[in-house]
Amino acid sequence: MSRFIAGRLAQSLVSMVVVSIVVFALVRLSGDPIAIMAPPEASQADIARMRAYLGLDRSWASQYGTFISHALRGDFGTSVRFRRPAMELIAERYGATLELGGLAVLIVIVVALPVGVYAAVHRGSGLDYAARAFAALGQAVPPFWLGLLLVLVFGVLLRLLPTSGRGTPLHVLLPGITLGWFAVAGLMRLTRSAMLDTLGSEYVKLARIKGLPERTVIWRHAFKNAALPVVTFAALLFVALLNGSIIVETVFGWPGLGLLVIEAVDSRDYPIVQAVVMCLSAMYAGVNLLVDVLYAYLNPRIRYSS
Amino acid sequence: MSRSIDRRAFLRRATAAAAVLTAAPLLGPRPARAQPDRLVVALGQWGTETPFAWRHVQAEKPLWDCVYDPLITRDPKTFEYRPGLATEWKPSNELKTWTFKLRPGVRFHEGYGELTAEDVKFTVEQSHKPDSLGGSAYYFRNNLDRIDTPDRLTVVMHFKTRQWIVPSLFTQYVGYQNVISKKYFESVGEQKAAAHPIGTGPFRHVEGKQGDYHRFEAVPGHWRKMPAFKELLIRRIPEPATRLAGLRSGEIDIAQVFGDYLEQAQKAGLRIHESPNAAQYWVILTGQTTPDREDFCPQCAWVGDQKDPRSWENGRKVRLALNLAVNKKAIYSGLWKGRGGDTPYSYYYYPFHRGYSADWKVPPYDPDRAKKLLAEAGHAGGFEVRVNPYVQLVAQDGPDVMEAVALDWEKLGIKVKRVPEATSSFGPKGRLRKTNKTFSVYGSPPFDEPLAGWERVLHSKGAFNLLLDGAFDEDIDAAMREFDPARRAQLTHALGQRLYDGYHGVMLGMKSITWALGKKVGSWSTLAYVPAETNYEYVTAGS
Amino acid sequence: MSVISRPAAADAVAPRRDRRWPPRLPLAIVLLLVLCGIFAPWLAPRSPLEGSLGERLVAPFWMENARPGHPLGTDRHGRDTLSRLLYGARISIAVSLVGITLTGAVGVAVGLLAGFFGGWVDTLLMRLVDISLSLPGILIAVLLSVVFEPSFTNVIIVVVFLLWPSYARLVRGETLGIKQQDFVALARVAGCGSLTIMLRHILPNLVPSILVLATLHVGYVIVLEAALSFLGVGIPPPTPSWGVMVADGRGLIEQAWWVSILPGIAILVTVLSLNILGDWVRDRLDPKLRQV
Repeated sequence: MSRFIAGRLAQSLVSMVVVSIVVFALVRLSGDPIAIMAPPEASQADIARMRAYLGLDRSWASQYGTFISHALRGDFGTSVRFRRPAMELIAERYGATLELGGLAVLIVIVVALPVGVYAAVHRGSGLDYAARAFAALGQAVPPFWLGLLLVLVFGVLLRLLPTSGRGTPLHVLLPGITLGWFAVAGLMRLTRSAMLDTLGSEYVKLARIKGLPERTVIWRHAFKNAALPVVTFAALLFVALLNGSIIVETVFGWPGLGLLVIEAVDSRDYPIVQAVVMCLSAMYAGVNLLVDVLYAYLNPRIRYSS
Repeated sequence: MSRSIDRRAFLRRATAAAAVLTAAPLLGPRPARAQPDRLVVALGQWGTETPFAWRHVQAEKPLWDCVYDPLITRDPKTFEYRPGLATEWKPSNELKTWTFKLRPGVRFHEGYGELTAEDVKFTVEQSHKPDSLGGSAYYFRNNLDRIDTPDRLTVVMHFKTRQWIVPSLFTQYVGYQNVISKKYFESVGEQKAAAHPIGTGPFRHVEGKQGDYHRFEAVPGHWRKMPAFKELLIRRIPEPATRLAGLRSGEIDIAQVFGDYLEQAQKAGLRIHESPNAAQYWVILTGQTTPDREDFCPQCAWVGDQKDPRSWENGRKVRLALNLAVNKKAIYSGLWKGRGGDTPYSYYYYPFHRGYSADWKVPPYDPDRAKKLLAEAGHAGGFEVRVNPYVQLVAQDGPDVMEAVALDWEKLGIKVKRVPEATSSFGPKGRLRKTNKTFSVYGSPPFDEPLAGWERVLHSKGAFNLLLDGAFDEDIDAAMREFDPARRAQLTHALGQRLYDGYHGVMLGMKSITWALGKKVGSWSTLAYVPAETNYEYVTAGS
Repeated sequence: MSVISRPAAADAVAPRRDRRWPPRLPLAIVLLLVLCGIFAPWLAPRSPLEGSLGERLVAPFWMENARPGHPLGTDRHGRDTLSRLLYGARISIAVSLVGITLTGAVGVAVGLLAGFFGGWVDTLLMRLVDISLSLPGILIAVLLSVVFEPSFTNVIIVVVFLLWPSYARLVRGETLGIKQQDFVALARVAGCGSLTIMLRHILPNLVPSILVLATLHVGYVIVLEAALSFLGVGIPPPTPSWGVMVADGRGLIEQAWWVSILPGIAILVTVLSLNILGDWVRDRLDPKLRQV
């Protein structure tokens, strides 16, 4: 078992190194931050001087070397735009993204799981179709549009919730719903599908023959087996939500990592883009590793297959 | 088997660990809730957020202006200089020396003492730092010789050559110097001073989060103006629809609105505050530059070859056609909602400038004549152009205006390719004259004199190319060397006339900048003609 | 998907209707939309690209501010909504079709190779999937549009980048299961090469799952395209697509709801129909897979 973990750990590290190279190259290909920040009157000499000052005139290899050696210590450089350590900015903002993502995942799980299970159990019924229609709604409505609609209805017309920003628990409600909305459909369909798989299995048939109450059959036996792919999805969902959070944070003015990183790309703020992507990659690798280990732990056949 | 129990324990422990990891950052500081004594302003964005003059490029003004006082203020209606932190400013030594006398008894926030000449000297000399790339840093680095402070309230600046433009660099608009406290800056260092700046202004910074919000408090007994609101909160909300929603729900008191949002604000019962004739709009016809630049395009229909008089005249005809093809009245009513019109102008030449002429009318809408002109110039079948419908600092409705212009041009048979690109990457391309001949809509700010603007945007050595490069270099240089204001005004007028006659841009009109005001706000006297300046200390409370 | 051993073919709880043909209504809707897209130039009353400010925000025919010639109203620049909806069908369908086909090709190839060969090939390819998943897609989209100009091709690249891992993983998982089965062993004994086995024996059994995933993704792609337009890195104007139209009208939900809601309805109907069709494919063809 430990050999398996060690192997996967090594692979994760290699993945992260590759990610670091890719993002390093990508941001540098996208343009020059000095050219953007330089004011109208800056001469070529000024710009060159600024570039040297920030260390951007060295070769890519040398810059990458510095980047990696510092990154291992947790230092991702100084933001070109904010003139503060990139990690400091991320530490400041990841709480907001966590709050947003956490609520979104909670909403997704609380809504999608029961509905998915129910739709599978009562397959073909009116509720099944209703649930699938609801799922379709979740997939078909672009998050930015939904966000603005919610703001209009709950913020302006009903005056129930704040329209933007972060502050009280009420502030996170609309952004959280907007972010989670899209994923509800996916998880619901997956749950339904996984449940349908297990509900037809012999294992469940046996439980039924034993005379167990239907509720126990569904939740204690069928769902537990269906849970594994669902849990995988949910764990990775959190990381995948960063994509959606860029849009939700823009619409709601939510001070999280999504907004930070999209503006960093806009202003070619290399340190921040690199730092965010590396943190994300680490988080993703961590979650992936955890899930793989969990699978291997639960199903020994996988350990020895690769 | 003991293993199966471990699974549950493992999950439990893992959940606990996750909870701890997530709980910590959630307990961070939050902005407090809405209060009657607090003015909430929403901005779309505020640049790199630095409060220091030697670092910023105008986009930061709406955020930090309230913390500082300028040396020279302006009359809100006439734009003329008035005393600010400086009570007088006199040139001597043939304009090579400028002496500023400071106002006594002005105090910095948080007990950092009185404003002295040392602070002004310290502020300006920051421009000499190697990484200073701010608005006027370049100017001071190249032209400033030294600064003397003979007494506590006198600043004497010596320049290498004669300079008439010096006062305008210290005024309330266009590259003014936020005077910082030398003591504060040296004691806490630049990073802390940037995160929590202090100045002499009517508001003092309390706390804030970069990219999110900043909270300010009114300074009691301020020498210039005591703000009516005890607290000022400036928030950043990138999406204009959300800003409008905040205005309507009462969470936000002041925000800039334009276009359809302006209409919605009015329908919702919000008052609109207007800064009239604040921005001149024109479409930049790139390609009119010097042969050493990539954008140089004598074969482009709207440029022509300067060496061939007929080609040059054809270029002018095409440019005039592009002007005549645009239905400006439709833009005024459809997009500007009546907040702007066809006030005559000539690129940076505002009605309040000396030598202004009301003959510089915005070309009318005449598509038939436009078609004829195109045919005369040999382009009856049209040609291809590229446009970038982006949001410009002043022209926030740039995308809509550009699309309207594009649609009008297409009716002439011109093929328009839209190439969206954000300011951050398009701006530098414009400065380097490497836009691949891509047009865009520009909204201009006013300068003290048109020449100050032309020097930057019309000269081939200028940082920008917003009209054309090269053709007027000598005229601009000559006018810049003219130290007699009346004579200079004459030269400026002549140049303005030639610019107008050449139709080097597609003139659209002059537009007001509009804000929506919430119920909490009584009235607001903003600076005339200024699109990006904000002075929240002049907002009064509503009844 | 699930790595739990597959049970033998068995029915679910509710009795299944024997449907050899797909559900009629969804199929009809999808066909109708495809036809609208193909025949848009003949069906549309006007050009979707022409407009003038004098006709902006005209309301649909049943409302007060309506005008003749614009049955479904106009958008912010005076362009006809109905025409843009019809032409938008083309673009949205094109983006989905091209995008998902390319994605499928890449993802299925990777998944097949990984699942079939296992070992270091599997490890390498799955780590490639991980790397791809840790790079935020929207970021890639913005970076792409910075380096190249925004275009249809950019959108396709982003779609492929974002979606190929799902196909790779799904196909890998299923391949792992299928290759254990007897008929594969038989094929090998019969002397078939690896490529033949993969393409002739395994791949056909993957088709239902791939189809289900593909139908699920069409809606995702259209909405993704809308999100890219919102950020300014989608299909450049004035080309209409449903996503672009929704992004365009987002500030006008109260003032001119038809600009964003009409294309929104189009998207919803398409997604719903495709979901139902996808479910039918799964329900119909899955048991057959198990019976092997």
